[in-house]
Amino acid sequence: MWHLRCLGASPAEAADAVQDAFAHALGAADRQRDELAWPAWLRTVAVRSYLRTVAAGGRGRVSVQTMADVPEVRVSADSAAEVQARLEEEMVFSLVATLPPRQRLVFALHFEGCGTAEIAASLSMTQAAVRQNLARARAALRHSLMQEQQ
Amino acid sequence: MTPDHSLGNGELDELIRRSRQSFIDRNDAGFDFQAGLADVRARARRLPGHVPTGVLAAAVADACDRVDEFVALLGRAVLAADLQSLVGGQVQYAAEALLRARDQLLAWSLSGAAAAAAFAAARDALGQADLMARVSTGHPLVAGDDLASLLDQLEHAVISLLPPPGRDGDPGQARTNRHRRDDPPSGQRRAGGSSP
Repeated sequence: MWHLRCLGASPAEAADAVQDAFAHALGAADRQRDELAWPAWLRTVAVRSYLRTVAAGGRGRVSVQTMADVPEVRVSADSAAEVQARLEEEMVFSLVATLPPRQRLVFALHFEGCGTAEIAASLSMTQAAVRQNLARARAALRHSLMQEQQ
Repeated sequence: MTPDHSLGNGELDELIRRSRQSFIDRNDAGFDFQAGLADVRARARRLPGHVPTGVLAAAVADACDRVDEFVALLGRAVLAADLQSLVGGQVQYAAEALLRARDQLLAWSLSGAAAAAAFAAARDALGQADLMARVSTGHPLVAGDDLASLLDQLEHAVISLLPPPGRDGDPGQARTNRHRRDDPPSGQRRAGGSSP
């Protein structure tokens, strides 16, 4: 879900693609013996499902969501923290969505725990290119955060 | 929490990790596993050219086998107690309802409503047969087994493979796999003695 949201999927699109990936997995359970390969397999299938939805629906643009202000209501400490956490999540998705597609992919995979070599292999890139994309993504996000502050 | 916008890489990474963990925790907390699983199974059945294999096929095969075993148990009980003339019709009726549901399950065309109706019919018929057996012989229809409990377990095994009402409409209409009733998927086996 997080990976797909980083790629620009709405919550509904992400949930739909993940459910589709697990449906495909049911039929592939006897072909995929390596348990460690499942996360990458599911991620790949979910991304393809999402991209098919985008293509079929004509959604070519990434929608960048604007952040709402914190509502002016009395809230408990727990609910205030929850609201802040949600705002922070949406802010991160919005900022990541402004990255070029390659940087978005590298960035999302990096924060899902994939190593440089693994990302390079899955995206058919060199490890140097992975590091370069990650560095550029970080720089762009820092810049975006500063702009948002101003 | 307002992020610090003069972030270094470490702080940016921490912000992303914290946000990601919060997202995952919130989604996990709100996820209805049973509904999600039912939705996944319904989607699996709609996949173009999908042939049930792996976990799903194994679960269906297991449920079908359990129906076959239950029906065979009924047949043996009726024969053993020589109750064919007394309760044979009721047991036959129940067995046919269950086997019809079993065949529809195997063909991926069984709806939740049809399954519930089949088990209700079987439960009613077997309840009458059990009562008649007790009155006639002083013993239950199936000695040593709680028939209602066995039927409940069987119904649960079948229903758990189907989407909950309102989530999948009529699976018969949504069906995309092309198995015919006389052409079961590979790996499916039919237990012997399936008719009382």
